[in-house]
Amino acid sequence: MKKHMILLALLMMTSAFTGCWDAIEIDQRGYVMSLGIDKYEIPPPGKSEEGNSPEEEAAVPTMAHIPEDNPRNRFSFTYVIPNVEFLVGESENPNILYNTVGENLYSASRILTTRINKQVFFGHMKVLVIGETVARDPDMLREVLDAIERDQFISRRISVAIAPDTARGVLEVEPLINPMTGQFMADLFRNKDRSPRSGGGIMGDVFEELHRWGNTVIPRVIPGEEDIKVAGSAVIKNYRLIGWLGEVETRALEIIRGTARPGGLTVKHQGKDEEHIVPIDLIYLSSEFKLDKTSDKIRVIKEVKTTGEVKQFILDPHQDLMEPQLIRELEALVCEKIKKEMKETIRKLQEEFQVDVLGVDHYLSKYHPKLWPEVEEDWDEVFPHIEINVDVETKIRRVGLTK
Amino acid sequence: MFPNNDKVTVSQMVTISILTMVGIGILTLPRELIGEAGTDGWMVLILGGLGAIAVSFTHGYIIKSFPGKSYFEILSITLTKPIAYILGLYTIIYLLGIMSYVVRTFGMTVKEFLLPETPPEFVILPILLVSAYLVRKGIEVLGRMAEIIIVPLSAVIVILFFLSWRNAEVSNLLPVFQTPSLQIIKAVPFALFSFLGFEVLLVFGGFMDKPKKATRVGPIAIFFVLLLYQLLNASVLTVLGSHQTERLIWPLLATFRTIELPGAFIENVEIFVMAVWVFTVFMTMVPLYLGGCLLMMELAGGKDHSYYSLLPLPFIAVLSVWDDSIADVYESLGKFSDYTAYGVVLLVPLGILIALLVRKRKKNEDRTA
Repeated sequence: MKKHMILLALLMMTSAFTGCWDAIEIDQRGYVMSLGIDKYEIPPPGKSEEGNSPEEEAAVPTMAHIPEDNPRNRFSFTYVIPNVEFLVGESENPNILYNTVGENLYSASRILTTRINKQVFFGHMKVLVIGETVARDPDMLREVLDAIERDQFISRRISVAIAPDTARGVLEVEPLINPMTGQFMADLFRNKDRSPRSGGGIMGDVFEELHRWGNTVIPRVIPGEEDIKVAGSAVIKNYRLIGWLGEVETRALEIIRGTARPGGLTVKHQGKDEEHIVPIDLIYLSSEFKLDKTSDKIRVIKEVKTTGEVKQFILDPHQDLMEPQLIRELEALVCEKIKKEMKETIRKLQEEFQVDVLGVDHYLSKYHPKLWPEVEEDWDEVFPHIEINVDVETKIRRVGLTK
Repeated sequence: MFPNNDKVTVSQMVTISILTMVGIGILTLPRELIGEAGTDGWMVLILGGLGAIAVSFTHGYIIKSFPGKSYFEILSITLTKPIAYILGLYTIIYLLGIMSYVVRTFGMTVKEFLLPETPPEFVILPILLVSAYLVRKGIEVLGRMAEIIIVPLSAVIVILFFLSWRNAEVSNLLPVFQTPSLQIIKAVPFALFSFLGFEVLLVFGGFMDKPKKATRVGPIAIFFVLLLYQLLNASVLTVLGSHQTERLIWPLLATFRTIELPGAFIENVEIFVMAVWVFTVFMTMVPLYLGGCLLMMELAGGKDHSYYSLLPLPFIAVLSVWDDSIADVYESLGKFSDYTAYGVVLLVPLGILIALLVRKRKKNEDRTA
């Protein structure tokens, strides 16, 4: 009887502890912190000799040879893997950069394992940087985005950004303040709380908008010498990058979309005999569309409400900030400035890009389901001709510590 | 300590029904609701729930009319013995067939999310063996197990939903009342099927300690499941938006993947979801399995169903790996339930009901004669 029990226990153990199939030791995994995706272009001849630019030397030599021009070599992927040895102080290089070319993300990552002694693991990826060339090709963009969404380990909370020029160029930068590029960029995205100058850039949100009608905006990431900047945004129309919005335009767009984070705005106040520069810290409270039903043309009104605090006026002013009249004047200035920026951005999107990333389509489909089916089919043609008015209401609540 | 007298209380029966209903369907429900009726899926759910309550009430009525009688006995009394054998076999096929689909979905999902390198057989086999173990112990242990599990389970589920609302956009629930009523009515049978599982009452009814209250079981259980489904559908829609939900195979899991706990050391909250879900799947499998074994015992004769608990296991295991791909699984599951569920849930009880009425009338006639 006892023998049987032991046998049974053994049998149970062998079948119950099967998770060991998937056991991988932690140091056997190459954690990809950020991934850059570019279109592969054959480097101009002669570049292979002078490939030892300072950035490339900082990174561990990545490519054994220049890959040939092959129809399989469509993408160029840059993997940033943090160097564990750097963390414990045994190495100079904070990041290990691998670059590989391939037909798709999956096979390129598999081929990469022939070159490193670790398993490439995307489960802790923080940032995806897409190069402009890929973003301008709708098929390639859809391919890589699908690979990202389909993967069961890549979180929907990762940040995504588009780099003018190449993604590799961004990832090769080692920021002074934190040389771990992947972590730095992830923090940068989290940190944007104080500035609305770039979009949210959360992968899941981008997917949601793309699944809807194929249009969205994705933050732009710009490499510097020793820093990286996330500002401005790329406008995606029908899964294709069609243009860029600058920082101010992006702020206006974010206000319209209702996703703007708190941020500042500076107005010039003309006093009796002097002009003051007045920066105001603003919180964007609400942003709502209203459909004007009185006209037979589609006319929507965007209503934005903000509240703020004066951050600077001038030392010993003639007219101090405890006068409500002055506050009203400042409020009017802020409203006017926001309005102007918003109108300019709307004009650009309607006339230049002809793409609705403002969310008018989403608003109409949700709140006016009778009207929407009539225009849904050719919304791309309708959108540039609809009338969008803006209406801003600002309340300055606080002025700081002095009068 | 606990006398094993093979009785379940009403509350145990309710929890068993709830846990049987909540199983693999919840993973795909929001997507399918959008496919059926867009953002008006909640109306379909309510109508389907009401339909299911009506059907389960008749199930309860049947149990109430034959207190202490097993399903097979009820079938034999009302529809004669030969038919009872056929229908009993039909019900067994239904219960174990559905169970094998549950097992298959479980295996696929675990392989996808948790153990990508592990052969699916080794995911399926252990849970089958554990189910068989619980089945051996019978209905009373199952009832206690259900009662123990449901409280922490509901707590975790509610907490997870709360966490997911951080990213919710309530206006995603709009527009409402836009789907043509004909389309909604057409979708009701689908919604009714998303409540499948309440029919275990038919098989377990004979074990109830108060069969007089059998009519309550289904409606109460379905009401709770309806609440859960509405919460689930609303959460998924608000977090993911209808267009995205339509594209995802398992939108429920994607919803939880958007949860981010700032400052927490845990990065992927969906692991908790999977852990919780393993329990619900287990509790979906066991009642179906037990129901099948009990019927097998009665059909083949015998006093103790535990002898039969391992018998269907190889068949379930083979059936559960029968379909090639995930696409085949969902397609053949649809076909299988079309052929069996209507019969087991609607037609057979209807037959019993008619026979019951005929018998009653005959009795009255006899009495008057």
